[in-house]
Amino acid sequence: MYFEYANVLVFFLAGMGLTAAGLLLGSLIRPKRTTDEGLESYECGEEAIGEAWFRFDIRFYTIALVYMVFAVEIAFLFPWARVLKEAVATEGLGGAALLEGLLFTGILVLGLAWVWAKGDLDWVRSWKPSPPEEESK
Amino acid sequence: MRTGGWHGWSQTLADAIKLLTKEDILPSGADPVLFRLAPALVMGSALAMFAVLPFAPGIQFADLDLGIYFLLAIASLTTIGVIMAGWGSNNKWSLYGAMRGAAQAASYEIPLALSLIPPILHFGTFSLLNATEQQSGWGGMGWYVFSDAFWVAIPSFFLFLTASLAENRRAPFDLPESESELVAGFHTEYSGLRFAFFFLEEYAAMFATSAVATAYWLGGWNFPGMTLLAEGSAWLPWLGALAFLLKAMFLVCVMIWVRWTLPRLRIDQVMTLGWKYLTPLALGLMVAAAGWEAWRAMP
Repeated sequence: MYFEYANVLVFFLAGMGLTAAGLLLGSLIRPKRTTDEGLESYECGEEAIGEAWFRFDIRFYTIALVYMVFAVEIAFLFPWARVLKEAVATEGLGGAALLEGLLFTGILVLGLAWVWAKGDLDWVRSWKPSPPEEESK
Repeated sequence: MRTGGWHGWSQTLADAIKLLTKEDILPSGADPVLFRLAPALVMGSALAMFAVLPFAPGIQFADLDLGIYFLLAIASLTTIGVIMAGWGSNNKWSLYGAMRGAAQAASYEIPLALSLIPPILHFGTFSLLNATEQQSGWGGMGWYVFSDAFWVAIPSFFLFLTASLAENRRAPFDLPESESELVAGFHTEYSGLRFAFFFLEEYAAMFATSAVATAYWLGGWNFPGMTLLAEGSAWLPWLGALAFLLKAMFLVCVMIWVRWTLPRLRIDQVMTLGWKYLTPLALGLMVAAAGWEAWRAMP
């Protein structure tokens, strides 16, 4: 069994080795005429203003959080899907196996609906000013 | 249009040689480790996907029990590569591309994984080999799309194809690249061979996802008329591999065809499509498939 994973590892390392081998082969024939201008960041011919490593609006951080929840959900749903047919056919379990899975999904659908209603699924979140009567208190 | 000799077949070779002889550039502002590691990482993960594909009876390099689980995990590594390339380049275009790539991959991984649940429910296995073997009925036409659950199989097949287009950053979801707005997106700073590896990875991942769709929905290596062959015939692996490759290449052609047909979406449209349409659809299909398979399996 673990031998199969060793096979996969060989493929992975072969892929990484391929890049290294290609670059090594290329280094024998490709030119090397670097200039300081040539190594600057490309900004359509303009001189770059500052670095690209600055603070920026990441926009989708709520979406990333929702993704995390769903990714964990899927990690749990896959094994459930794998054994559902056998579980349903088991004496004394039957429909409860299906119901449990659906309940689990249902909770997450509720979560998705809530995030959707809050507007967190939009790329540009709509912003509404708070009503004035709340501010007076 | 001028193409290479032999009806354009030599064009690929000419392109490879051209890219090999291009200067290798490491921008002065870039992070050398991330910049160099990114193409190697995406190539490694693309090739690792090929290890678990069941090409034909006896032609599979690693039959993992966790086949499809593993495939989903290793496919996500390419996204890490894209983010590494985008951040490591220290270029604003690249950063934008990487940020979009991360948002898009996070959004479409959900429908992609959920669309795989109907076939997993049907076959009761994670192993691609086992799933393919179960589709050998009806003289080689017992494919999942022709099974009694065809009404969930067909929509989930198209859902998988759509989500995998977005996962592989193919048009109309090629936002991380979008050459008309971001120059070249996450690989703006890459030249020559390193650039070529990103494209090689893209096409390799396209083939790998098409192969998964083939193995789960289109019967893998099973082809009509395979029962005419004698039991244990030496022809079976070869003809099976041919059938598998034909089906997978057909799906790759569909993906290329889609690229030249549909215009690119805007990033907010991509996110809307992923979260507000495909994810609910995938959840609905999953529930429908679970109900159907459970009802069928009731004693």
